[in-house]
Amino acid sequence: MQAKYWQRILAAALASLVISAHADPTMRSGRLDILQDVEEQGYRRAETVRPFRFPADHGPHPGYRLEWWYVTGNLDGPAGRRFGFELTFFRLALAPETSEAVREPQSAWKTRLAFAAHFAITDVANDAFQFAHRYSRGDGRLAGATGNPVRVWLEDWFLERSGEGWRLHAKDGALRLTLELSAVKPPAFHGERGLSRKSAEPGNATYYYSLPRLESSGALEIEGRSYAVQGLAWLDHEWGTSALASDQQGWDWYALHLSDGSDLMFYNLRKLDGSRHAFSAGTWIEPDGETTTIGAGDLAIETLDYWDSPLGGRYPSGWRLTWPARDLELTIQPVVKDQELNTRPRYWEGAVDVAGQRRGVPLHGRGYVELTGYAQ
Amino acid sequence: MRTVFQALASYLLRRPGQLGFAVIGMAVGVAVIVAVDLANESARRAFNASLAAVTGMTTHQIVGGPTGLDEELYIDLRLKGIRSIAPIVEGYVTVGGEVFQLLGIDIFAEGSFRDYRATGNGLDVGGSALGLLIESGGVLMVDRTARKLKLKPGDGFAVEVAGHAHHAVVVHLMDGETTNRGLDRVLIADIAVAQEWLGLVGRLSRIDVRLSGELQDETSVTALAELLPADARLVDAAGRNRATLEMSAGFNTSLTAMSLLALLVGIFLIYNSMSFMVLQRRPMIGVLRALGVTRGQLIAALLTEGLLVAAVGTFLGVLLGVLLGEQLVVLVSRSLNDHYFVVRVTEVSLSQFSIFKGIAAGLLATLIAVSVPAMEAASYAPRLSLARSVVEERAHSLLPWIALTAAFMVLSAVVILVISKVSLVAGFVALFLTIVGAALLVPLIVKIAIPVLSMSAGIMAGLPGRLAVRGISRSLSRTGVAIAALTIAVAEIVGMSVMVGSFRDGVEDWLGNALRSDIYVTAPGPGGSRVERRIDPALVKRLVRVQGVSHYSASRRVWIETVSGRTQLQAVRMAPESYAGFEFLGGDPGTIWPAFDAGEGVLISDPYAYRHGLSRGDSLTLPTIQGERDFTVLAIYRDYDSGQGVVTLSRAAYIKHWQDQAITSLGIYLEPDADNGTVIDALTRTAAGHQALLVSSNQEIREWSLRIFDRTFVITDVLYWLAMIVAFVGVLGAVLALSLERGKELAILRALGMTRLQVASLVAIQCGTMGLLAGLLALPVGMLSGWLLIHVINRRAFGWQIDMTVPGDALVAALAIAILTALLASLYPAWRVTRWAPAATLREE
Repeated sequence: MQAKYWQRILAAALASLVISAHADPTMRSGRLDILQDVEEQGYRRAETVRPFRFPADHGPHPGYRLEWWYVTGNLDGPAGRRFGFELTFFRLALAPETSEAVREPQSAWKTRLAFAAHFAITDVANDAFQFAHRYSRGDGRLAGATGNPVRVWLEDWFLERSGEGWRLHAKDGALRLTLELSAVKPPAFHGERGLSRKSAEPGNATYYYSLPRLESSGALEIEGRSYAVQGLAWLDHEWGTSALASDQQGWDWYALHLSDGSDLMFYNLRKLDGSRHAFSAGTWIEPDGETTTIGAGDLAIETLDYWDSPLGGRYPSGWRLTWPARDLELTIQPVVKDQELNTRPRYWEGAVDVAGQRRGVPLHGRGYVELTGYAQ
Repeated sequence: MRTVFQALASYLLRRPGQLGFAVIGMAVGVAVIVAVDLANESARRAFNASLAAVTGMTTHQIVGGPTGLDEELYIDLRLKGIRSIAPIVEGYVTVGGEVFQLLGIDIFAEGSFRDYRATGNGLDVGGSALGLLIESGGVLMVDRTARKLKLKPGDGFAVEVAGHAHHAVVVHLMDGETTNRGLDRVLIADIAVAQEWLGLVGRLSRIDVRLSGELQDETSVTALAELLPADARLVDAAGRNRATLEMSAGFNTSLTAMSLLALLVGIFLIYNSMSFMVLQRRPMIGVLRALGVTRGQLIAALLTEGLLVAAVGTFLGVLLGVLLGEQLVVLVSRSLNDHYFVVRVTEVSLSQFSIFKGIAAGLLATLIAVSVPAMEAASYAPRLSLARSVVEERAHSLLPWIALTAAFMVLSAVVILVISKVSLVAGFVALFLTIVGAALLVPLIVKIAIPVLSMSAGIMAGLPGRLAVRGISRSLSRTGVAIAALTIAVAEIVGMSVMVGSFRDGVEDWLGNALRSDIYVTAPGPGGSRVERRIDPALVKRLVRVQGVSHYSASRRVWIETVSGRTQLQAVRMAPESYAGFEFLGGDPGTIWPAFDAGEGVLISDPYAYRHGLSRGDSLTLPTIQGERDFTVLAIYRDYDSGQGVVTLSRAAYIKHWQDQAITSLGIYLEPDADNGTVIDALTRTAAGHQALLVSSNQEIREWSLRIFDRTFVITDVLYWLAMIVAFVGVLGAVLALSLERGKELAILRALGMTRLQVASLVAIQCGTMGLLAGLLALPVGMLSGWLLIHVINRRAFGWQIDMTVPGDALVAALAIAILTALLASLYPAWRVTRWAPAATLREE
C-alpha cells in the first residue's frame, strides 16, 4: 500500500472537511493532491534497513510524515452469517516538528498531526457494505498513537495491545465492532527486512511489516442485532515520508489467508498504462512464519470480471493469480461486489474468497483486496 | 373635473414657493423616517448576519461559567462517541485599532457547522484551512477585511489582546462577497491559537452542538444534557442568539425608539405641509363650489392632487432618506460598538420595508392631512365659503370640540401608560397622543391669550402691533395650525433637552460618586466584560506595590449565561472608599454591607432590577461551578453603566462560586502626599514590557464616559435639528399663506397711509408673536414630553431611572429659537408685502 495514495486520500478528506456541504465541482476532479508538492524536507525518511523492536515499533514513529495501522479480516457469526471488516488508522504530519519557542502556558490542542480512520463492515448474507470515516487533530487526546502502551485511537475508535494480544473497537451509529486479536505468527517483514522500497531513489520507501494471521473473536452489532464473531485478521503497519515517482495510476493489494496455514501478500503497482511497475512486490509467509519475498515478475494476475461502481469507475472484480515457480494457482472472488468506500478519492477494499491448488493439492482461503486509482 | 384640476393646479403653479414647501416638507418627513429606519435596519442586519455566520448550523450550545467550560468536557464527550459537537474559543481582539471577533475552531470538528467557503477554487481551501494548524498564529479572514487591512495571504500582522501583542499570519482568505457576509469582523484561528491569545488555555467558550439533519445520531438533547457536569448547561442556540439579541435589547429598543421618534417627527411634518396646501386655497375652493363643482368632485380633486404632491415628495424623500441613512448608519454603528457588540455595518442595506414604511407614512399622513380640511372646505355652502369670516367663525365655534378631543387624547395617553407597563411602543403612542392633544389645544389657548397680548402689543407697538396680534386670532384657522406646528417642534427640542440634560446630569453625578479611586488600571480591549480582559496576576502584585500606592480595589467583570439570557457579573474587592460609591435605592447600608462582605447575597443595579422585576429581598438564580444557586438581592443600586443591568458580588464570593481569580481592573488609591501623574508614570513603567495596560486618572475616566454619552446622543441631536427644519418650513408656509391671503387687507392699510416699514413690521410682529406664543406653549408641552421621555420611554427602553432636572438655559434657548424661527420665516413674506403696489393688489382682488 502506497504512502502517496494515502496522503492524497487524507489530504482530500481533510480538505473536504472544510467545504463539505458545498463541494465545488472541481473538488471531484481528482486534482486534490494538495500535499503532493509539500516540502518533504524536515521529515525523516525510510532509507536504511533498521532493527525492529517490539512492542515499541508497534507504536508511532514521529518524524515520518505518514504512518498507518491497517486491520482487515473475515469473521464468521452464528448460523452461517459471515462478515468482513476493515479498521484503519492513519497518522499524518501536516508539517515537520520544529523547535519553535513554546509559549507558556501552551494549549493542549496545539498539534501539527492529523489522524484519520476508516471503518467498514461487509455483510455477506445481505450482500451489504457499510463504512464510516473520521478525522481528528492528533493532539494525543482526541486522537493519537502511543508506543507504551501500544495504542492508536481516534475518539472512541481504537486499536491497542492487550497483554500478548490486541484489541480493537469501532462504532458508527448502529454498527459496532469489538474484537480480541491474537497473533498466530511473528511479524512478517516486507521488502528488505522491513524496508519496502517503492522506487529506485533512496528514501522513496517505507518501513513495512505485517502481523499476517491474527485469530480474532468478539462481537459485531449490526442493524440492531449482536453477533458473536470469530475469524482471521491481518494487521499492516507501515510508515515513511515519501514513496514513488508520479508514474503510477494506483495499485491492487492482496492479503490472503490460505487453508494450509500459509499467507500471501502482494501489491501490484499499476503504471499509467496499466502495466505492472517494477517495484511491485509481495511476501509469502509459511505456516511457521518464514517469509519469502515475491518479485514483481514472479506472479501473473489475470482479471476475470469487472464491477462498475454506481458512483463511476470500473473496478476489476475477480482474479486468477498464478505463481509458476511455486506451482500456485488461485482464483480470487469478492464476496460482495460493492465494497467501495466513498471517500475522496474513492477506493475499493473488500473481503474475498480464495480457491485453487498448490502442487496439485487443493487450497482455499479468504482474504482482503484493496483497489485504488480506479475511480476519481 | 379637469377644470377643477386646472384651477387648483394653476393656483399652485402661480405660487411655486408654496408648492415647493409642501414637496420639501413632505420629502424631509419621509426622508427622516426612511433614513432612521434604514440605518437601524442595516445595523440590525449586520448584527444578525454576523450572529448567523458565527452560529452556522448549530442547534444547541453547551455553555458554562464566566470563563466557559473545561476543555476536558469536550474531549470526554468525543471519546464517548458523541460527534456532532464542535469546540469554540472566542473573544475580542484588536487589529490596527479595529475590533474583531476571534473565533477559535477545531477545523476537524467544524465539518458541517459553519460555511467557510474560501475564494478561488476548492483546491486551495482544504490545504489553506489546514494552514491554521501548520502556520503558527495562522488566521482566516474574508477577502474584504483583508483588503481593508491591506493584507494578503502569507502576510504577518499584530493581533492585540488585553494589552498583549501576538503575531498572526494570514493563511487564506474566505469569500466575503457572496457567502460569508457576516464574517467581516471575524478572524478565524485554530483553537490552540485562540486559547493562547485570549489567555483561555484549558478552557472553551462553548461547545456547539448540532442535533439535527445529516449528523443526527442517537444523542438526544436530554441524553446529552445528562452527560454534562454541574457547571455546564445545554441551551438552544436559537434561544441563546435571541437572548444575545435581547441583551442588546438596549440596542434594539434604542433603535426602535429612534425609529419611532423619526416616525413621529416625520408624520407631523407631512401633515403640516399637506394641510397648509389645502387651507391656503379655501377661498378658491369656495369659488369652485359656487361654479357648480360638487363636493365629491372637489374632495376627489384635492385628494388626487395631494397624493400627486405626496408622490413627488415621497419619491424625493426616499432618495434623500437613503443618502441620509448612509450618514446615520455610521453614527448608529458607532454607538453600537461603544455599548454592545462589534458589528461592522458596512453598507446600508436597502430594506424594502424601510422604504415602504416611509412611503406608507407619507401617503397616509397626506390622506389624513388633505381629507380633513378638504371635507371641511367642501362642506360649506358655495357662497359662504367665499367669506373668510365664515371660515373663521366656524373655526372659532369648533374650538370647544377640538379642546374636548384634545382632552380625550391626553386622557387616553394616561390610560395607555397605566395599562401598558413596559411596552416601549405603547410609551410612544402615549407620547404621540400627548403631543397631538397639546397641539390641538393650541388654537383655544391662542384665542384666550390674544386679547391680553394684543393689549400689550398695542402699548408697545401702537396700532400695527394691535392689528398684527388681532390678526392672529382672526385667522385662527391658519395661524392656529402654524403655531401648533412650531409648538410641537420646539416642544420636542425642550423635551429632548430635558431628557438628555437630566440624563447627563444623572450620569455625571453618578460618575462622581461611583468613581472613587484616584487611578484606574485596566486591561485594554473591547467589551467591558469580556473574559479575556484581565491583568496578568503577577503584574497585579507588582502594580499595587508601586511607590505612592496606598491601597486598592479590584474588580472582575464577566458575562454569565443564565436561564434568562446573559447577565453581567461584577466581582469587587472593596477598598474602604468603595462602599460609598454605591448609592442604594432603599435599604440600610449599615446592614447591607456586612451581609455583602460575608458573601450572603448580591447587589443588583437598578436596570437589572427593572428588567427582571426584582426587589430587595428577592432571590435570583445564577449557574455556579457547583450548579445553580440562589442569591439574595441585598440591595438595588443606582447605575448608568449598563442598560442591561449588572449583578455585583464580593470577590471572595465570586471566586468561591466560579473559581476565577482574574482581575479586569484595579482602582488605585494614593498615599496622601503622592502625586497623581508620578504614580501613573510609575504604574505605566511597571507594566511596560509585560502588558500594555490602560492607566487612567479618575478625571480621564469621567471625561471619557461623558464623551461616550454625548456621542450616543449625537443621533438625537441630528433628529431634533431635522424637526426644527420641519417647523421652520411649517411656519414659513403659514405666514406666507397668511400674508398672501391678507394681501388685500394689507393693501388697504397701505392705501390708508401706512408706510412699507409699518406694514412689514406688522407682518414681523405678527410672526414674532406667533413664535412667542409657540415658544411659551412649547415649554409646558416640552416639559411634559421630557417627563414622558425620562420616565416612560427611557425607563422602558433602557431601564434607567433618571431624576428630572430642568435646564433653565435650555428653556430660554427654546423660547428664543421659537421666536427667531418665526421671525426668520417672516422675512420673506414681509419683504414681499413691501413690494406690493396697494392699488394693483386691490384691483387684482
